[in-house]
Amino acid sequence: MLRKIYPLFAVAILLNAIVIGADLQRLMDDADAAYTSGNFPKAVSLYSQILKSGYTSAVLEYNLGSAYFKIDSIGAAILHLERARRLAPRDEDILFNLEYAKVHRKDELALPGKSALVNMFESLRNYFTLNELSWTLLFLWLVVVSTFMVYWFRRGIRGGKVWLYLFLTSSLVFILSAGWVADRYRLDSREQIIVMVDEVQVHSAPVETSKVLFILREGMEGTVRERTEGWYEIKLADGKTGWIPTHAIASI
Amino acid sequence: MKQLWIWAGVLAVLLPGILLGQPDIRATVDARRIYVGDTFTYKVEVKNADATPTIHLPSSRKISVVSGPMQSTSFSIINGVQSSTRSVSYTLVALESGQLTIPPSEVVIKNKRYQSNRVELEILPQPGSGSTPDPGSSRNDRPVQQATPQSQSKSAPELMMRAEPNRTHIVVGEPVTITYKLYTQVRVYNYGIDKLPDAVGFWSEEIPLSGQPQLKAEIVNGVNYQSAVLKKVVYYPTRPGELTIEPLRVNLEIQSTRRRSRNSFFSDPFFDDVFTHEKKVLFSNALKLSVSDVPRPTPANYSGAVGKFRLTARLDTNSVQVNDAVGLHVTLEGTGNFKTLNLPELTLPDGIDMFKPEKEESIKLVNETYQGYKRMTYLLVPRMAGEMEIPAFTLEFYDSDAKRYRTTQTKPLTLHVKPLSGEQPLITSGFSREEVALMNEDLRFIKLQGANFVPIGYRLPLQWWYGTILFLGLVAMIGVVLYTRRQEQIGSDQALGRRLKAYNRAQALVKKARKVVTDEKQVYALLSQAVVSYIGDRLNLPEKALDTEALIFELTRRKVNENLVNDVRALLIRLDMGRFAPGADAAEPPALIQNARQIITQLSRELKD
Repeated sequence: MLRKIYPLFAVAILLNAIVIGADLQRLMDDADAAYTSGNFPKAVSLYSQILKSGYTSAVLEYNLGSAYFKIDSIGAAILHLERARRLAPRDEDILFNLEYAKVHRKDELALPGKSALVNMFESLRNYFTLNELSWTLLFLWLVVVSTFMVYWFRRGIRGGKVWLYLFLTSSLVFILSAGWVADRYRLDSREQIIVMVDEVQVHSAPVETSKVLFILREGMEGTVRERTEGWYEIKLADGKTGWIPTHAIASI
Repeated sequence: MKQLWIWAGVLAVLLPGILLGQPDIRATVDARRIYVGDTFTYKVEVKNADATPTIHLPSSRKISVVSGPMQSTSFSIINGVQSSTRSVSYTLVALESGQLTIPPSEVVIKNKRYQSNRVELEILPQPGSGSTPDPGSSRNDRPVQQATPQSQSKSAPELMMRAEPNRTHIVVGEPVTITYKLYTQVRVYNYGIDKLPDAVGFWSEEIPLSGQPQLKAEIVNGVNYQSAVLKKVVYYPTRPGELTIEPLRVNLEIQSTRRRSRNSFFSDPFFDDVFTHEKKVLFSNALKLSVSDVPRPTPANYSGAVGKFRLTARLDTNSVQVNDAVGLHVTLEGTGNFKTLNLPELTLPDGIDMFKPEKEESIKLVNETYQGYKRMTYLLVPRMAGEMEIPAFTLEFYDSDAKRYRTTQTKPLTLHVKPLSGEQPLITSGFSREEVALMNEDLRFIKLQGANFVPIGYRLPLQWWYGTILFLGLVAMIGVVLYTRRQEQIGSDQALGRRLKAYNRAQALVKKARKVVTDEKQVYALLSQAVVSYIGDRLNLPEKALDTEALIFELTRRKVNENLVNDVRALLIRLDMGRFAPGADAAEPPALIQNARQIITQLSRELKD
């Protein structure tokens, strides 16, 4: 009985996806039209409506980020462009608009320049999405399993050793890739925030009356370290930490 | 007669040991009377035992270890009797005169302790020389004579070490260089210095010497010596008072001057030269230095700096915009006690943020003092427009040459901070060239192509099927390994093979019987074979031994349920009767087949290992 139902389920899910996809695409087209005609606030609201459906895409985030930039919401622009970058880290348009939005922030951290080697490492680290890495890992796992099987049945036979080496090599590559996947997963799950208001005071404690450590302007990014009711403790790229009220920020 | 007594004595000594089975453990030294500074060897030997002795050296100030412990083992077979000797030895040096007792050493064999004899030594003062390192005899104003004046005239020491300071009156923080010089009249083949002497209240650093020490002829108190500088050390006193630098210890290998009382017939000048190396340990004099405190009262901000210093400060640029970073470099250069010195703290006016400074230093030993600079680079970010005054830095230091306090001060710096200009995008030096170029471009247009929608927060590795595939792969690998292992085991183990196949084989025979149900005789034969072979296979009995009584015996022996055994016996008898005396039994073949199947099933339950 169940066996007969399964395909039906699959078809239903697929159909649902297509219907939703088509629905969302229609909204997308309307939003794109609004943007093209220069009605940026309308574009922003239409794009945001798509996000409320629980689906996202690199193109959507990119377009929404760009629209936010057009209405001078730099914080939101950077937020959505960062999200777009996570979904498509090699897309040049996304990278360009993200950089472009960032230089238009009113504040900039004085960070020491990175060496060429570090830059290379970081761009390699961010080159693939979690999905791509996960598929690669799965493929590598099949290679590991199949080379092991061949090795196992040919062990003791002439030339069987080659399969052992293949198995060991693929296992090593698999382990390294697993490490990469884990790193990417951690980076993707790390909660980052962006300042969404024009200016916000960062406190030394999650209390309004505590000492103000520094001021952050719209569009600044930070990593969440801890949270309490209404406050996040954040860490900036230059190492400064402090408590920031949650109404002033959004999570990437 | 005399020989007899000796033998009796030897026996008396050895007998208890032989009778009690005590291993022969003996401690020896190679000289009972030695001079201060001489080396000697302490050796513990165990004969015919398979254990290494533990040596307890006395913690005496009179001796010090030069090398050891060295272990050696030797075997010998004399007249067919095998014997072995294990030994542990130390090379020690005598430091002070007097009596010395080395307590017995122990060896543990089969949980029993055996002790060696104790060893007594007499250490004599060095004849004609006082090379004993006695801190009390040292002077603090000039290099100390190691020989006493009386003995000097008679016989000057052939070897001595001197610690020579380049000055004796110093203030806290002022360096003193001590040159350790060896004076010798004999050939020195080799020397070694294990560590720098203890110097409480000093901070020391060795000056590396270039190459091997050079020998120089020098006359000390009318005696000709070859002298060589073995070490140069810079000491920085960290507190005032009478401070002592302990003697430096040098291990020397020199040409022996002791005559050998060997048969001169074999004496060969060449070999003599090679084989008369002697090890010696030499101490320099201890040094007492009077370290005076810097003059009191010290200036309010005195940092402890002694030497000559100059402090400078400089800004990258004098004019910046708000939020623009500017570097402030503070440099301290000169000569003196850099290592223990900190740069003055920076106090900034309000409205300037400061980032952690970068430190940079380059300090070298030049002419026996430290020379170089320390630099701090602060990154300042003004947050308000206006004229910012960066106050002067001051460092108070003590000039040890001029013997007075001096002050070095930077000029106060002024930073013009320009306000941000309106709404225009800022183009300031805070941005890189690439960023400035970026600002002149425009935002890229949106993408109009179709979007691939994914659920928000979708993570592929978290999907249930992803983990399942990984897990199945693992299961497949382990399964293959276990399965092939099992197959191999069955192949190699006949009993196991029979046992595993028993049920299937019996079932096959019963099935066959059901097919030929009309041929009664064959049914009886097949069923009998099924039951008999099942029991035989299960219990791995030899095929030939499979008659009814033997099977019943085996089943009973394995404590199988009595009723079941009786059932088996009844069935087999009925089958045999049917085969050999047809018509004697009234039972129908189908009922028999059913009966046989039941019994096999019951047996398989009973015989479950």
